[in-house]
Amino acid sequence: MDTKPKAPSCEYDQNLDLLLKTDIFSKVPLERLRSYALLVKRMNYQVGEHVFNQGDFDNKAYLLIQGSLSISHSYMEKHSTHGTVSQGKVFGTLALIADTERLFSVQAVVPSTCLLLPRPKALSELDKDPENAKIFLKIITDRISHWEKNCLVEAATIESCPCKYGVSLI
Amino acid sequence: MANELPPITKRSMYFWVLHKNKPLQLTMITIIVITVGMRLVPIEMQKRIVSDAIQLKKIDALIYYCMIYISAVFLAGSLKYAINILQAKVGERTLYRIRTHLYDHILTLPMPFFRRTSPGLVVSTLMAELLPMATFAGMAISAPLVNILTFLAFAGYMLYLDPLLAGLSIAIYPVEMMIIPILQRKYNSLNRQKTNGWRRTSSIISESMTGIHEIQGNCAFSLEENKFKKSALWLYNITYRLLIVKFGIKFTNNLFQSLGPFFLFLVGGYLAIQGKFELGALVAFLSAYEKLYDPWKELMEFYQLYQDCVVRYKQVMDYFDMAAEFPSIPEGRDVYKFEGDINIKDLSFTIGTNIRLLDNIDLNIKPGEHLALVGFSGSGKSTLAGAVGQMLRYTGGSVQLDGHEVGHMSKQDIAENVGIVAQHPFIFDGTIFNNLIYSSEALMRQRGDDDPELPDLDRVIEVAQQVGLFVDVLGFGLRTTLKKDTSPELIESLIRAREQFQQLHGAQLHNDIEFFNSDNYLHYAPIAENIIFGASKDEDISLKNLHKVPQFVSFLKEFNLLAELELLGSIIATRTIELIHNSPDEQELLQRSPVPSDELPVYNKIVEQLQRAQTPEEGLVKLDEEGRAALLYLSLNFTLSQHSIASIPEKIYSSISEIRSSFKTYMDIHLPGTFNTYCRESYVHTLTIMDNIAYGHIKLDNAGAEERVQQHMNQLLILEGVLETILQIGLEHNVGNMGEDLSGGQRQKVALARAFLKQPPIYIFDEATSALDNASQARIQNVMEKMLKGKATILSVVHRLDTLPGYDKVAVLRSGKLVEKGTYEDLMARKGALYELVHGGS
Repeated sequence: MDTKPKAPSCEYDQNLDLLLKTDIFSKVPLERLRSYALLVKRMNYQVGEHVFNQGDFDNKAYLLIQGSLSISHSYMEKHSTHGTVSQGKVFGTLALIADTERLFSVQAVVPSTCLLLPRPKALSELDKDPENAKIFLKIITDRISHWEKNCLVEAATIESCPCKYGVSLI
Repeated sequence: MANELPPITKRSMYFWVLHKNKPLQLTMITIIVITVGMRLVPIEMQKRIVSDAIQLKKIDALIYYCMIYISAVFLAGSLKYAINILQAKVGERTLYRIRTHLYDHILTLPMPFFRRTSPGLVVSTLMAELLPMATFAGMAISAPLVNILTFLAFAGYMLYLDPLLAGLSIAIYPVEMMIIPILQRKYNSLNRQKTNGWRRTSSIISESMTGIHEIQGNCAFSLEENKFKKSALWLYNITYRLLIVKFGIKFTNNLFQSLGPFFLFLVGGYLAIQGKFELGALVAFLSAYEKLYDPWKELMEFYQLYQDCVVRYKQVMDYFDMAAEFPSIPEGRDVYKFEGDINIKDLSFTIGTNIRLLDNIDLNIKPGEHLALVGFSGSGKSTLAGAVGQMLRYTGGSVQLDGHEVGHMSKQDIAENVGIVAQHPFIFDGTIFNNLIYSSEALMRQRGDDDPELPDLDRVIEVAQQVGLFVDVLGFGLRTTLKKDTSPELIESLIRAREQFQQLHGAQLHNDIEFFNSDNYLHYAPIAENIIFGASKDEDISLKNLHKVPQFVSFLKEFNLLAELELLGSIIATRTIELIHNSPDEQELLQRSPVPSDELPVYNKIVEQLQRAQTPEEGLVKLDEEGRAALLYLSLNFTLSQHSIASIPEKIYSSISEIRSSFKTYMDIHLPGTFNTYCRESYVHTLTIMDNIAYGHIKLDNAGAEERVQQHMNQLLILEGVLETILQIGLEHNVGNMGEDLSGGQRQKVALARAFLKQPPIYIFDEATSALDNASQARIQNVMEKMLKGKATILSVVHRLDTLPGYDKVAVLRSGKLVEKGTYEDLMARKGALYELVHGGS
């Protein structure tokens, strides 16, 4: 019986495949995405380890490729949980536009692995690649709008909306 | 009473020529007088050799005069050499003095000067434009003296030989002296214009380099090219005209010089034919006349240099001719020592046409009190902090520290009493330690202490701990690779720590460390390290140059690994180059590939060749030896955890254990004693301290792994008594140009520690913790509340409003006006401006 360990397959190919399956990156031109797939990094989180903390300033987004993450928020010693991030989900994308303060903490519930998605050059130096910058900005704007649309549908069904006004109206 | 020196920008050029140079200048004058005498001897000897020895056929006299001739020539030459050395010494010393004095002056200039002046222009003014001053200062006394004396000596000698001839040939010089200055004045005027044009053109280049993003973004190539062309063309025209005048001066000079021999031959030749003038005397006369030209030529050159320096020197000094906004040191009194009372009354700061950035601010902060300054963006918080810290000169009202007006204080008063931490602190090239003690050292040197007693290591470590920099410093220390000459005691301690670490934490940290195990492939090590499973003992062989070691390559060939590795190298090279061609992120992509950025053109060429072939294998066969070695380099440096671009050959991955043992056997025969294999009893000098203690590589793709491992190591380092040594190694870490090795948070921690080490009675923080994470922020807040409250006054521009309850008072600014002041609780209860800020009103 052959018990020799098998060499892992090419991580770059896997990363590219994962990115192609996400809504945010599926619209990015393939040649750009192929380069971007080399820039992403994998990070493993043990149970209880934070992906980021509320109040941190961050400059990257995340794609959960394995495990499960909880989202929580604290205010004046009051701690509340706001659901979980599921596998295949990209989160924290606002930080791709500018360094953003994290309003939530995200923590591993089970051993998890994320792809760290750095800010693409098109967004850090808008003038260098304006066409792709437009694509990214459109995708992120659509996500905000889509999120609020869902939120409003949800609010309508539970007959109360906690928001003062819509985030897409700011 | 000490002599009062004039301000640097008001000093004349001759001030520098004499300043601290008098003994050297006097020595030079003495040597010059002797040299001039020596110069006449060979001419007199020429005359005697012809008239008294050759014509009278006296061999003894011939030898005698020739010996005197050669001795005089040698002595004059040696003295000239000595003069040149002295000139160089005086010149370079003077340039050094001008530069250092001017640099000191520039550092004290008001902030607005630096906002409107490009650093490049200051650099070129201080370095390039002052260069001719060195030559001038060296020659300023010696050149005119030696040349005038030589000229007079030769002229006198000629008069002694024949007054008529001498009169005729010297008569041209007064005429020349009238014409040359006219041309020189024109030259000076053009030279001044050229310097201005040079600055203008430099400024355009500097501006376009700084604003290159804007230029490329707007595709403003034509616009910028036009600007540059205009300025460069103007510079060309001026320089061309300048050279025309310069060569005109040279032509005039040469023309007048040619008139001398004309008269000599005409009149002297006639007299010699008539027998009224000895032939020997005519030879000596011609020789003397020729020699007369040398000092004249040198005088002319010196005159041009002098005029050039006058123009440059004046322009340099005019450029920096402004007084420092505040004196550096207190005049006629001791430096103030404050309790920490800050009293601000009717403070205003107006710019442009009455734009008020601060508008009648009244604020009092008692000694030991902590005040937070908050407000919307552009409300004047940083301007107010700047006014208290003397970073700007306020235009109205008063700011007093312990009753003394800030506007009337010296910089030393402020440095002694105020610790300022900016949002984006500047980190200097050097070690962390140098950066930490920067403020303390600066203060002590300012006090006149040339060998300052700096804060000791314990104090530095204590403050590093307070600001949360301890872990960072320890991390830098643990990530250091120790040299082979490190003390054996430290090495022994680290090996003992390794044993303890394995026993106590090995099992617990198996997720964070990839331990060295000869049976397993190391994902966190390059292929080369995987094969050797150790390190080279020979300093000339490293993992980076293994691909060039013949015995190593032979091993790969013999065990059929070479072809696999070259193929892997070709995949890495091809993929990397392809991705780079399609992406603007060249540098970032190269960090994720083993292709070295400085070798990119080489790999470009290799990939071009590979792509011409039908298959990668065929491409490899066609590649030359050097190209294949370059590919082998890539595969040997391929690290699975770091380089995702390719996968590792199955054969190498699954048979690594056999490969390692074959390698050991092969090298024991072909390169004995060259490689060490990892073993728990010996220290590996190619690995970091951390990897040595862990006896493995830290899994950096495990979040928090490095911190957890470091945490477990700290205790062991204390037990082994080497924690301080490792911290010391960490403190000696060089942070790179402008602190590029440090994160934003680390930079702020360094700046905070800098201020804390100085222990001033007043601290001014301008968003000083904005880049810190929550834990570090809380730690600083704790230090401020527990250790500084009641002991030091704090004026802090605060961006994180959740920290406000920790302050004694909060002041809220809006559009340059103070709109609210009180305790956090009171202001929140009042539901005014602070309440609005906290609850996110816009």
